[in-house]
Amino acid sequence: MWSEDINKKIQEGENRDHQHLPEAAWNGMESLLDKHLPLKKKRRRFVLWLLPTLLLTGLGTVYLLQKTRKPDTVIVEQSSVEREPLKPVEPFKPIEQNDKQTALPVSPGRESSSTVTLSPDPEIPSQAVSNERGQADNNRKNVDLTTKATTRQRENSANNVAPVFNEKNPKSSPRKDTPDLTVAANVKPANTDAPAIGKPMDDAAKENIGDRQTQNVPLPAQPVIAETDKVAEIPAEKKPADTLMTETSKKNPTHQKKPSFGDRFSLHFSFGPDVSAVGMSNPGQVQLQYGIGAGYAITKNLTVRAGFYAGDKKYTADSSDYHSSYSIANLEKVDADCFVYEIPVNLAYQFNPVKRHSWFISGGVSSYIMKKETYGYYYRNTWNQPQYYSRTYKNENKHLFTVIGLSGGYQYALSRKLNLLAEPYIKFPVSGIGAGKVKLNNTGILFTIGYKPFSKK
Amino acid sequence: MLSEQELEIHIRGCALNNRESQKKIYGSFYGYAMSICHRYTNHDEDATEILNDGFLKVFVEIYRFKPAYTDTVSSFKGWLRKIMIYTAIDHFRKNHKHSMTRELNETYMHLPDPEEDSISKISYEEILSAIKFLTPGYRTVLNLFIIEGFSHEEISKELNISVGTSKSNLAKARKQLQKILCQQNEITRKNVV
Repeated sequence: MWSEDINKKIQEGENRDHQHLPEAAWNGMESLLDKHLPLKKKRRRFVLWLLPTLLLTGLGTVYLLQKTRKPDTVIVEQSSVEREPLKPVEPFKPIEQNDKQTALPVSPGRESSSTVTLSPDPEIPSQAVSNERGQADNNRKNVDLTTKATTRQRENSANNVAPVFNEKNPKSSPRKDTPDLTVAANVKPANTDAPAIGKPMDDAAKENIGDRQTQNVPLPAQPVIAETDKVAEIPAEKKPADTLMTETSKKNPTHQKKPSFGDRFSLHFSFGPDVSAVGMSNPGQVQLQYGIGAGYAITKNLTVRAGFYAGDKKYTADSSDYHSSYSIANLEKVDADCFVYEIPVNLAYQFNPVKRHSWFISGGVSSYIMKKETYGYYYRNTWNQPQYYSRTYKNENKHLFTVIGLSGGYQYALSRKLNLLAEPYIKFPVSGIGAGKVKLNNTGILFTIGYKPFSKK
Repeated sequence: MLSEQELEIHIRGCALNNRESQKKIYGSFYGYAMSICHRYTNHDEDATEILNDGFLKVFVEIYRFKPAYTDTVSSFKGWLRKIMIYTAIDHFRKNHKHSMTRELNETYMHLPDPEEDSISKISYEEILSAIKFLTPGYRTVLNLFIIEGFSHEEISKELNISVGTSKSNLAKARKQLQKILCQQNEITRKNVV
């Protein structure tokens, strides 16, 4: 028939037609493929270069910022606090003895800037040297206890000592707020039971004072106490803090501050190459793994870490290693491409650091959440012809705490807040992973940037 | 042309979106696919468009390909052919929506019927060039019925026309093709002589 003849002619012609492929034709086809079936590798390579570049840029910026700031004070052993040593008290100059009694106004309100000198007894220092005022001022800042003792003593002296009028001018009255303390020369204190510094006067002493008032007898001299003397006579437990600190530090030179929460807590950002393999042979493609984490130092050497990582795992499994719920006849091998979320929990032991360098080992368990699994099955059909079949699973498999991880690494402290870590690791599961329940092992290196956001300088 | 083993390897490569494998298969079956596409259009640009769209479908679905019989090459060719034909039909539906109805009102040329044995003297290239002279509607129906072996029911379903329209267009296409072929043959004979 005519139709059959035409059909036959055309089929013969088509089968015979071997046109050479023009290059322009493939270019058009390739652009169509790039649009509808883009190659994923290019994007990954871009990410592979972009992430480290961004990290290095950020790291350099942080490092420069840290460098321009004041150097962080590292917790060190508290050494002996070197304070200005207390200068020995210079002996008071004795007051020239004459008939007149001089009274130096004293304001009880003033703390320690001036002192009143009374010298009934030449053995007792009788005059505050004005040049000691400056020294007293300098020491005052470091001596809180001294101030308290001074205040207490002043109160006692104000309560116990009454003003004495000048004999020659009995009408002269002392200023109300500035009682005059006048003591005649060569008059020994009648009351040897003068209250000690800081101790309240007993009733007997008070009566004696009252008797003296009526008799217009000058009061027994209260020993003049300069600021420096006050310091010297304060009981041991009330010594200034700096002195105490000096003694303490001498006894215990290794005294340290307890680390705060900010020094214990750290945030991590990690990335690095990862290789997957079923068993020990036939490793898959190197893929990028990345994620964030946090750590808390339980002790000086032990740290608990947890994180969240993502990455692709590509591997090839033999038919004997792949155990699927549905069987594939004459299966030869399986190519797998899985996108996995990993949640590790680790305990790390850090050896004592040497300057900024330290080493650590770590162990823990991880959970795998299989977000997307694509498997390519290579098998043979009934006629022993090679066949290929692909299948994708999404969010179908989760493996909680089934992967054991061991690692060890090196840490460099850029500053008190910033650390760099390099951590090679191996991971192996205790049960099957993914749709094929394969024993998926992983190895790689994790580069981490650790940051302590709450650490104080 | 690729051997059977090479074709299987490149089919796997195409399933994994390997560009080299895709280029190999594209180059090996370019001529075969283009000859199919040329029968459905009289413009080279349209033929290239149908070809590339067809190959895109092939590469997207290639992981589903399973040889129907032992010869992988023949099986793949048949699968490729079907995809090209359906791509050509899609192209026709997209660009020549009203050509079928328009053709119903057309009158065809009054030419003497050709001799029955004249077809054997006509080459494949002449048939192809003659098919190109047909209108798009006639060309598509003729291709689908005579060459691809579609039934009128299948043609009507694919082209969204009635069975009667399909039969009518086929009759007209056949007559027109015969006359064109005879005219060419006569011209050739005259030139030879």
